[in-house]
Amino acid sequence: MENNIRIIIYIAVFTISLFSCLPMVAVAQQNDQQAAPATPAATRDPAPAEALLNTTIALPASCSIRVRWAQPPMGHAAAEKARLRIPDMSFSVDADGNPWIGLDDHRIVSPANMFEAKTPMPFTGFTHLDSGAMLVSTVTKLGFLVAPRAASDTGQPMQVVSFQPIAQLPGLYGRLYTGPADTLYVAVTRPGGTNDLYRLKPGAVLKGFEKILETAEEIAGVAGTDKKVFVAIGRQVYEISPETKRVTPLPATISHPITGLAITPRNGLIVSTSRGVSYLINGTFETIVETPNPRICVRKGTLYVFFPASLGVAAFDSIASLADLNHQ
Amino acid sequence: MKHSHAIPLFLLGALALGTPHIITAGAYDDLVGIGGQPGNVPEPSNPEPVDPSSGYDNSDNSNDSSNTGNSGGIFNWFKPKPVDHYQKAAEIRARADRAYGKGNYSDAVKLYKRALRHTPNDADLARKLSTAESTLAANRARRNHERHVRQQEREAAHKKPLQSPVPPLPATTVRPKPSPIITAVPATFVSATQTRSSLRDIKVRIDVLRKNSPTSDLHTLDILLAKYVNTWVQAVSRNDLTDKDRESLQLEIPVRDVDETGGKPASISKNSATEALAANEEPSYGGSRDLETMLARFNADRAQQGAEQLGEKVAETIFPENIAGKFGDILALGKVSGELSRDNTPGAIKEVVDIIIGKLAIPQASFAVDGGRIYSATAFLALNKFMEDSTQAVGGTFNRKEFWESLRNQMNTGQKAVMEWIGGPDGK
Repeated sequence: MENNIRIIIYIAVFTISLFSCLPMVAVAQQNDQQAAPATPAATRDPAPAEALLNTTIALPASCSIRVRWAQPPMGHAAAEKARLRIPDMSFSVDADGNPWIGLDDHRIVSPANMFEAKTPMPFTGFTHLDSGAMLVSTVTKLGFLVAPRAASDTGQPMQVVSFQPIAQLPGLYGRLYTGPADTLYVAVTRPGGTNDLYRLKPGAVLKGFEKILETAEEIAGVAGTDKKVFVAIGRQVYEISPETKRVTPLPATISHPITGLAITPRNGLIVSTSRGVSYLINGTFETIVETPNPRICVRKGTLYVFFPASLGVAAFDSIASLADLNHQ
Repeated sequence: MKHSHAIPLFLLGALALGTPHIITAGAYDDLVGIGGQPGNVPEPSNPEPVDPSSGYDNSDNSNDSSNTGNSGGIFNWFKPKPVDHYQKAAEIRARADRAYGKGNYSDAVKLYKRALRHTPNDADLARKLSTAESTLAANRARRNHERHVRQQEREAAHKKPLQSPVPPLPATTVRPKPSPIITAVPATFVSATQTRSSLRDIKVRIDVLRKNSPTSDLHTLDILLAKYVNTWVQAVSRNDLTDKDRESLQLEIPVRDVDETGGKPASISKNSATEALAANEEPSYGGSRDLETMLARFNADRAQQGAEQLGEKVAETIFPENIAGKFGDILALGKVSGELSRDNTPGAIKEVVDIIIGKLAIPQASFAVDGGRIYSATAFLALNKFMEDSTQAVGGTFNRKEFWESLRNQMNTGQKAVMEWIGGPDGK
């Protein structure tokens, strides 16, 4: 009898101690998780994960797309504190697949390249070529960034790099877009409000800016193949043949104004709008990402989607596999 | 008898000498004549005629005055002052003349002025002084001019190495002599301004060549283009240029608003663009309407569940093995079926496609190190220090010097890519 009582007491003490220690173990585990430089596969943690706000992905199950973070986003609290000016942001991806972000019209950062700098004058856009070159446009000039003078390395937190102008732009407020084989498209606005699109071919830049389009509306995005140039204006995408000078509006329209245009290696068109990212399938635009104000860039078969509210960049590898849907 | 007349005259003369200023010149001459001619008196040098209006009546006593010079006779003790002035002036004028003859005009002017102090009404002296002064002024002006010319020559000699090594532009007319050898070697960098000038010269030659013989001299065109690009690259690759220098080194790239045949580019008129927008005021989503509707409904359902308000804490939904983890970092939430039409025409056969709906999970652990690249979720918390913070977060120490060295190398690599993109010989 006494032994039974003793056993019961032992069990009770053990149970109490067990319950009292559990929270400490949990806290310890949590601390371990925070302290350890974690694995990239943290998302496979079965514990509840924090998901990107206001963002939904919709991908055809049959496609071989894989999604990864090319640049992890900020947490929600940090994003709120950062007070980012989303409309002023620029986005591009270099030849190595590293994102570059223009935070406003002076600051450019690329965490993957350990790059952060200010430009000496306001820029209106930048883009990267497959060759590794980064081109920057200002209100009136096309150029590139160069390392600052040695004397200017003053230890300031954010250095001011130099801007080397290449040429005067044919108009104002240059926006840069890359085409096939490092062809550069430059959209400019004329003082009267009209818009022109020029082309600069690699290795033949000295030959001059070649005008390929005149339009009354603002050009929102440009992408190209060897023979065709696609231009997004408003909610419409136009196909232009520079040789024949023929303009053909694509029959597909989208419900929100287009903010960006990209083309996959299999000539699939992807557009970004103020509400998400859509892919042109069978003559219609299908939404694949629903998120506010994304920016897009396709580089070597990967679609990069920039989420300006959190500064995260998601990479959609093998995005060209969406073209398989055209044959289903 | 003769002496009896002489005594009173002597007395009168003595009185007159006591008051020489009162006695007229004629009376004085009479007295000198009485006293006799002094011996061994030197001839005055360069006797000059005196202006009759000078106040001195020298018409007949210039020699007499000299006769009353240094010796001879008792009357020489009472030699009047004006005589000394003339002699002094004459002596000084002689020295002035010698100085003038030797080209020492400054001294000549000084001496003439001194002489004029003794004979201020000497018109000839005044003329000589005027001549000497004008000659002196002219001489000084000439010297200044020569000095200026020499200074210019010296400056020109210093500037000579800065001049462009690029040979001058060929004349538009064909010359029989052989053309200069052109190489693609860049022009030596002296200054941004000089390089700009060199670039303009080369560009003009390129334009002339393109205009005159667009197909016949491609080799020379290639070389000139290469030289143009090389010269520019050499200049802009320097690290010591100011922003103003860089601005001046901007290339002159033409703008071609029409193509080579004179044809205008494609255009989208305001009307067509506006019509397209108007037609899309009530957009027809076509096949995409189904998917958008599904997404909207899907998200609305989730919002009702309160997931959005809970900070999007979601757990990975269990999926069939064939799709679990297939999409990488997507937290798959569900699967819906969407209809995709084969084309955008009504009544077209629609395909049913399974759509995976998911969320993008923010990595729980903020840092992932991959091949030396640092990804940090906290990178932008403090933008000014995020490099240091990110590096320290993964156990490293951020070295700003190394960072800038790396940055410079990285930017130089990018710069080279830009140069290649701009192109040279291939870009005819």
